[in-house]
Amino acid sequence: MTEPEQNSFDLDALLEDAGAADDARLRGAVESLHAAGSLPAPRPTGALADLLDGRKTAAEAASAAGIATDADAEADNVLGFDPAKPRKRRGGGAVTGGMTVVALAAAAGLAGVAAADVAPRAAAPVVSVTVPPGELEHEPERPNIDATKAPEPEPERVVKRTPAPTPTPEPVQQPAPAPEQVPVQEPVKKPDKQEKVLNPGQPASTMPKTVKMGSKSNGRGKKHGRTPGR
Amino acid sequence: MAAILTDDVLEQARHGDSGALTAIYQNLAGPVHGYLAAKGLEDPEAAAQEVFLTVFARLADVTGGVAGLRKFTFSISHARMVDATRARARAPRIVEYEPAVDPRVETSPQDELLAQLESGHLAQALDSLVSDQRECVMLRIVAGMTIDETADIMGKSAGSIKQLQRRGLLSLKKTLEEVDGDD
Repeated sequence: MTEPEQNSFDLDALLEDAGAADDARLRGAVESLHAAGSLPAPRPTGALADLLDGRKTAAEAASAAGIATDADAEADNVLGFDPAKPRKRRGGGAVTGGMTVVALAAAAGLAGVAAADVAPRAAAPVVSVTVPPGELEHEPERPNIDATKAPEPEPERVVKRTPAPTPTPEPVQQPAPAPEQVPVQEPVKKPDKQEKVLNPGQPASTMPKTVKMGSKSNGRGKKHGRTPGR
Repeated sequence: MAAILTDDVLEQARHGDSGALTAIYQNLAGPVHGYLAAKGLEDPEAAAQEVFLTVFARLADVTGGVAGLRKFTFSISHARMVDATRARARAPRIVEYEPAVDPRVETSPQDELLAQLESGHLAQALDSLVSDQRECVMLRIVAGMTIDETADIMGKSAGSIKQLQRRGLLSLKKTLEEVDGDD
């Protein structure tokens, strides 16, 4: 024989834990809530009444009330009922979820590409033309083409052309006389100026000390001579 | 007066003794009914009877004696409440019933409880709690569960339950002060 189950509710301890032991308003509210647990049991009806009267077994009563008594089905909703019993783990959830995410991302990408390829029909302007009455009374002229008759091949056309008049040869013109050669003026040596030999006993150097240019031979103006070797 | 619930009574109920089943029902149906009613179920009496039909069909699974039976019973109640809340969220919204204009209505314990809750603005204060805080307060105060039993039912640690209970009561106190201050 075990001890009867004691109600674990301790109002004072509860309020002390919350730091509101002196709050009369909260105490009254908690007492009202606790009183809700003291409601009388509802009068059993239907399958439960049959069970409590002994007319049905528990399984029959539950079945009659349409309540599933499958332990596995109910255990998923009952938290912490039997800690020793490992809860069922449904494998593959993460893998399935990951594959779903990848598939959705791929579908979104394809849809985006497809949407980008489609011409923006919705954005095309709608042109509405109102034709006044009588405007289309005259039918437009259309060529009379017999569609049942095959078109005849056109004969080869010969284009006759009048020969173009032969141009009269013009007298050969004499070639223009070649321009006269401009005689290169030789630098005129002044007779009064003699070349001065600096080193009479030595062979002449290839680099003269002084180069004198003709002042008007090339028409570019006077160039100053330079003296190399300085 | 309901018979005292003992392990022997539980053992007799496992063998289908109708007297033992009645004793279990008379001891636990009231708190279960109050718990479901305070949670706002539309028909807490019917829900309570469904809970006990489930409990009696699975008495062989109960471990831990009478304490285990209480925990198991409120675990089923908690699951029923969760199922009912989900079903209510999926169901179309129903126009609120006005019992004041219905001459067939007579006062029931549920009505008395609700009237008691509404008179002290307690229902409004309970609605202001976070879902876990409200569930913790209900199991601890209405159902009279211990810290460990509440932790097992809600799938949390004992420390988490203590925190939820403390914060829930402080939030309840604050809301009551605000509501009563407005009047």
